Amino acid sequence: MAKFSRKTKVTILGAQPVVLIAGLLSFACFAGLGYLWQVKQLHALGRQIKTSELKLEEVQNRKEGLQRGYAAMCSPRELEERIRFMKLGLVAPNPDTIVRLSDTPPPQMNIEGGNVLAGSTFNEQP
Amino acid sequence: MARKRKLNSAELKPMQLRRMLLLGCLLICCFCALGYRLFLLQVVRQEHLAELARNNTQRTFLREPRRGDIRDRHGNLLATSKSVKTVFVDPSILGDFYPFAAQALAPILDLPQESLAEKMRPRVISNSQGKTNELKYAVLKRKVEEEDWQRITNTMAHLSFGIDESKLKPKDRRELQRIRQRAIGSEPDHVRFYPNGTLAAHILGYVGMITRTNMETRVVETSGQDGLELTLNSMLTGVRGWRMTELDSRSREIIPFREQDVAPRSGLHAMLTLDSGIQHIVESELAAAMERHTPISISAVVLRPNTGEILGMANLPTFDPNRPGDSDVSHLRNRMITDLAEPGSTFKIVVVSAGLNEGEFRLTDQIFCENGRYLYAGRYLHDHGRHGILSVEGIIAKSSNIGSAKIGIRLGPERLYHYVRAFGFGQKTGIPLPGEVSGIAHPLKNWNKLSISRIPMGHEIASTPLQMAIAMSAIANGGVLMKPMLIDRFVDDNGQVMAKYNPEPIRRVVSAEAAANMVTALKSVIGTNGTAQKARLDYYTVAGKTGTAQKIINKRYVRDKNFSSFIGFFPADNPEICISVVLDEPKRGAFGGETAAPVFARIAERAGNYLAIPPDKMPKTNNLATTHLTRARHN
Repeated sequence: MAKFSRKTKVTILGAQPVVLIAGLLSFACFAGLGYLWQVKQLHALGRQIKTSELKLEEVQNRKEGLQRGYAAMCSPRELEERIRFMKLGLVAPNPDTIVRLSDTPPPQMNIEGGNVLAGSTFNEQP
Repeated sequence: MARKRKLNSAELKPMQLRRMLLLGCLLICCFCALGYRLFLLQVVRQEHLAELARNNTQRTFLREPRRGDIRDRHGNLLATSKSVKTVFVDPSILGDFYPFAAQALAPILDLPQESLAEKMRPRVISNSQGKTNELKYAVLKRKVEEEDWQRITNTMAHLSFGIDESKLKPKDRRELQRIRQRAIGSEPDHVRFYPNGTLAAHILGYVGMITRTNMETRVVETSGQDGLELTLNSMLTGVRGWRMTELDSRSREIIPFREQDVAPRSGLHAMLTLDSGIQHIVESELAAAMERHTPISISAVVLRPNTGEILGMANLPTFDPNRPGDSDVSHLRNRMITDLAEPGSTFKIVVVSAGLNEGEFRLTDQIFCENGRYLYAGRYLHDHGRHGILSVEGIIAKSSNIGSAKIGIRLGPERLYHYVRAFGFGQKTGIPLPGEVSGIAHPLKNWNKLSISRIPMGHEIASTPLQMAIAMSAIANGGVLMKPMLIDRFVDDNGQVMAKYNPEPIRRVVSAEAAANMVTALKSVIGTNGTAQKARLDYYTVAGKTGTAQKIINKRYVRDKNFSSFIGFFPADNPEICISVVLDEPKRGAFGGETAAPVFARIAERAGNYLAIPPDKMPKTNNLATTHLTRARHN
């Protein structure tokens, strides 16, 4: 038994530097691989950022284009042309056909005869 | 044969030692040499080599800011910036294939093939230190539309350069592909765009490109050249950003090595007092009047007398700010503020309101108008009609030169000059547009003996149409002169208000009572005895004044060439808007009452409807709505 443990001891003691070196090498290997993986991730992230930036630019350009298109469609000249082209017959109302309402407190309602208009809140302006 | 003698261990050891020593020395020498080289590179030349490495890969890109928009009072877009591209070439990559590229891209870029080829030709340039380098960057064209850039990239991707690729080695095919991908590049850029074309062209102005040197870098930037684009240039131009980053061997950015990334700050957006609906009304009516009377030019302004806000201002002939170079230079002028002319009879409002304010006259006072011919200081003064006795109100209604001259004479030079200056003549109105002139109001010491009789009828004084409109607005505003307002506020990209402008009263020129009396007199101009019956409106009471001033050519009045004008406001007793219309040499019709007053009426009617201004009078018609309500009330 003593002979076995001495041999093992010797084996273990003899194997210690090898284990140490193997351990160090493995650590260096994994560290290197880890570093490479991280750099790859960074670059992938960088590409994602670039793609997102290009997408954002594209969306902003589209938004600007739509704003310009909307502005052109809202142009008074354009609207008049469309009214003419579509023959909608839209004309400005006569001022005397416009009933103007004002936010005054309603007077006492006189509902005699069921005619609401007799005491209405209409504040007819000339 | 002698056998080789085996060396014994005692003899072997020194030889081995010597060989080992020699090898050791050799290795040490090599390592020393390497160490020395390392020291040289990493310590002695470290800075220089690091800089070379940085220059190879590190780049600083300037990020251009987006120019602020210009919008009307309702937020409608009047001027904006559009994203475009600046197309450049790397002649060192393109090499001798440049004629093929020039031929392919010339029609897309709309440039002559020869000049394009010249820009693409590889050449060597020398810097300030005398060092020569291959040219790696040359701009082919700026402001290239996004669609055209797509066409360029497609064309380059399929360009054969006159070579049969199937006969090339793989290495040469890769090189050709590299040329296709990298020889032509683009940078982001912006171009100014006016979506409504000629609408409010003279107010908005236009932009141009200027070149500046920014820390040894030449920068081309957009700058306002006229109108609000010029006046508000510093507010509309944002602040440039930059990005300091590294590029790989294929000139692609390495995002993780981005050192600095400062976003540009966009310019502020200007919200104007302008109403694009009113502006369109003004421009369309001016166009119709231009066709009817064929004047040299026609101008109009619509403003709120209570605040000085300008709702619309237009001149014809006009120009398209998207292509200002396509128009004659004279069309670019904002005649409302740059053109001087004698205001003529419209100036009578100044002398009559002065007389009313000083208490020298009342509206009902009678003045003898010499039956149309008045001798003063050795010269005759004429009226258009042979008027006998006119009231002060009648002098305005019939536009009597003699009547207003007598009012001016009674006032005296000092008081008359005081009111001329108080109403803003001889000084700028302060409108935020470039090119405004202050007009001519001669100081008292330059007056001659006739001036006191001539100035009241609008001679010997020169004003811009805007000055006259602002003076009329003072009457409409109860006697308070307001500064014309064109800008309401500035907002940032998030809509947050960064600056807000309020109406600015300049001074009280006449009392409220004098102004009210003047309004009464001005209402009579539109009456049956007035000179501007064609300015009458169905639903609004109008107050205004006509003007017909002979033009001065070669220091002489020319009979058949006039400035015809009408300035009026409505509703007269509670004015909402003031409109001025001026025609330069109208051909069909000469008087302001014939030419300018009808234009005023058409603009006023449409503007009143558009702004939903409550009418202050009804035409005598039996209309349906009133009948319905009346019947309902009586039931």
